[in-house]
Amino acid sequence: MTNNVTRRDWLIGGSALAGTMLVSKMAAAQTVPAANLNPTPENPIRAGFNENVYGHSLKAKKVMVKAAETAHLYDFFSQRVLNKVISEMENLPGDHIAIENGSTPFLEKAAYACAIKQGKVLTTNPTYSSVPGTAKQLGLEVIAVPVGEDMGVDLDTMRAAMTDDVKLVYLCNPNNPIPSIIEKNALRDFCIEMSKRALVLIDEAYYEYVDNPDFASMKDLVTDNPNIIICRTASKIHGFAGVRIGFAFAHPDTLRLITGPFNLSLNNVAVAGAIESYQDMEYQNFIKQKNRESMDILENMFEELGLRYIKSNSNFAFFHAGRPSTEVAEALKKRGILSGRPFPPFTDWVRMSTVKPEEMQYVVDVYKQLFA
Amino acid sequence: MTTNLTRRQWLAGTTTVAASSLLLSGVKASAQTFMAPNVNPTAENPIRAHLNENSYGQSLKARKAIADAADDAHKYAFEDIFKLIGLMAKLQDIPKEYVGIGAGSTEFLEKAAVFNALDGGDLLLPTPTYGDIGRFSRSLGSNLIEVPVGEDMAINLDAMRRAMTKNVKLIYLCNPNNPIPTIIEKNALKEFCNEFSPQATILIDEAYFEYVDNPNYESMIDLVKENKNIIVTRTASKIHAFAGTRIGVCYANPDIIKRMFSLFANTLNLSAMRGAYASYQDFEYQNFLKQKNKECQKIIYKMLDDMGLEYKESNANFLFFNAGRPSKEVAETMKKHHILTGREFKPFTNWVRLSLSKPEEMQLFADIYKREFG
Ligand SMILES: Cc1ncc(COP(=O)(O)O)c(C=O)c1O
Ligand SMILES: Cc1ncc(COP(=O)(O)O)c(C=O)c1O
Repeated sequence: MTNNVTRRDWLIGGSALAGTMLVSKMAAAQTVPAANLNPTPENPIRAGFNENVYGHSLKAKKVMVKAAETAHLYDFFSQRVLNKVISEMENLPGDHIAIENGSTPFLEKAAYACAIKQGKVLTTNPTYSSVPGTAKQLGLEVIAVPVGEDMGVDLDTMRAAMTDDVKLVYLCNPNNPIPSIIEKNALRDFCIEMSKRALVLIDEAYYEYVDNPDFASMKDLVTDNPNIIICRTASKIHGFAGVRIGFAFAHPDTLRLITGPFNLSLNNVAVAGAIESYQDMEYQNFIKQKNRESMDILENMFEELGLRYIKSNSNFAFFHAGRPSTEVAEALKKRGILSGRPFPPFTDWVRMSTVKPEEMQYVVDVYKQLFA
Repeated sequence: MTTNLTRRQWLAGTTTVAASSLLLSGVKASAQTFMAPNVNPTAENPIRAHLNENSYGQSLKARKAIADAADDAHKYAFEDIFKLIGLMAKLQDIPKEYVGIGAGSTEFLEKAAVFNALDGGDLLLPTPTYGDIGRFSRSLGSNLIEVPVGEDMAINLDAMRRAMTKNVKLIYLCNPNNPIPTIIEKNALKEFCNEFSPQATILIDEAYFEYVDNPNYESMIDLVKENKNIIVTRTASKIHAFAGTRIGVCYANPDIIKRMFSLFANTLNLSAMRGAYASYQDFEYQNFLKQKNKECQKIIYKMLDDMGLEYKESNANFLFFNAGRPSKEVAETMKKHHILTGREFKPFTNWVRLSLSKPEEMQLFADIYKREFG
């Protein structure tokens, strides 16, 4: 496990190899956790939740250990530092940026804001279910326009489905569970147009993974269009799923609807870690690279087995297994591999998150044994 | 700092006075270490007596659980929340369906404000009180009915009763209150809750619950068990020292819990949950902090008595006293000595809210205060 660490592997952290790497001296500031090549139901390969299985940047880890010493204090200062880092990085005014415990709080509060206006939600299906799920729980009507033939978000049909009752339009770009993107110019027009009639929330959770000339973040729109909200998260490429940092970009008046007056709600360790992680480009590039390697392994299998799949712009794949995804999930689970839950109506399709390339190869081998 | 550890200080220790020196010294130092008092405050490292934090830091057991969780932090913490809910249910002897966990209690206050706005209701609350729910309600467009505290500076239930209208769908009561650390007499409160919970949700914010040592006080959690329309919120930010870690607990009937917590309970920090799981079971530490808090209260009471200044007996980890001069002036002066005190609370602009940190630090405060204003 320790013998074939490449230069790039140094970049990331984990306890498993830490000691050895320090001794080896060459080890930049980073070490890497070993791949899990003997998965069991108790210690599975987690290809089910679109997490970053490499864990945090070591730079982030280091400051997080230190920040634990302030765990008993309300720390407003660090939040402002993080705000400034993001503000400079995204070229947005600081008052257009809000920080929360992941992006979920913003998604839920956008649904609340819609409910307060007694509006309906317009979205696509399938998509990430936090907004439509929360809206339904609040008793709101959700207009969910099916994705098109190409399984991409169908903006024209959504436009046709728009009514004056709709007070929130939610789109996930790249989408989830289908890792497609929406073409940038079409999306920009759509956002501007819809924002005249409703709040428009573009969830860019997987933004950092996209490598596609047809994609663009819609963040530039927030300065001139008060009804547009962009959400981002540290849960994906930064590995913060269990740490919790997320962002909303919007006009200050709109942010007020989806953030409380006292921003007490942040974990100091999370804030300190995010400040480092967002500036650690080397680490982010490394994760992107690893993601690409794993995605190639998966897509090669799809090609080889002749399975239909959607080109991924993200850290997960969506492919047509030709059998119920629940059946695939059960069989894989027995072999210590977690895969995505069913996403109706695409019940024969499987969402598989990338894991480390070594683990991805293992997943592919098992999949072929089981189903090829 | 490591040289003169008194009996009390065994339990303490910044990271420098940590385990090793204590263990080597042969003293049987329970399992705990914590931050040493800051008796030489500086501008960079002031005494923080302004935000009602717990200056001792977290229980060692919590700190260990948090550190051990670091390697799992890239995962969504789906299972830990159920474990923590189970513990909170057990500790309060209430079914799990009545428990919600959040990133601090602020989350519940804000959600309650949202649901009230959704129902188109007004918010009835005392003033002064903790301001989060009022401010958020206002930004959501809700109408506020604010009822001043009584002559005795305690929350005035009778006046609130008179101010009640049928548009009120949410009543906020902070018990103990903040910035005035008074409590509401238990029977009167129970009666009030029974009277109004049929027509409005009553949120009882028990952030300072653990510090109360007063026979006239009672948590309203029993009314929650009776399925009343009541939300009791608690926080790990105070006695558990989780202000920058973020765990809050809310107790309410299952219908309310279901409304407050959507399907996606993945907004919580995994190490915070594991830390809370350890901290809430560390009674030794909680008792120690309660005792320290009392010592702090005594020191400041003595100062106030010596100086003949009016104050409210505290049921929490802070005091509220009449400085006889603007609290802003006090804050400015004390800041020069690197001691931070509470902000201004209108209309009590001559009253100072002082958070109780450590006895040694409070003694320093008292000495300087007497020198400056005595
Ligand atoms: C599209 C999308 N948005 C938001 C989230 C939730 O993210 P966070 O962890 O920031 O709350 C996810 C998580 O899977 C997601 O896929
Ligand atoms: C009465 C009261 N409620 C709630 C809070 C906020 O607590 P939390 O840190 O749990 O969000 C405070 C913090 O000072 C408070 O005084």
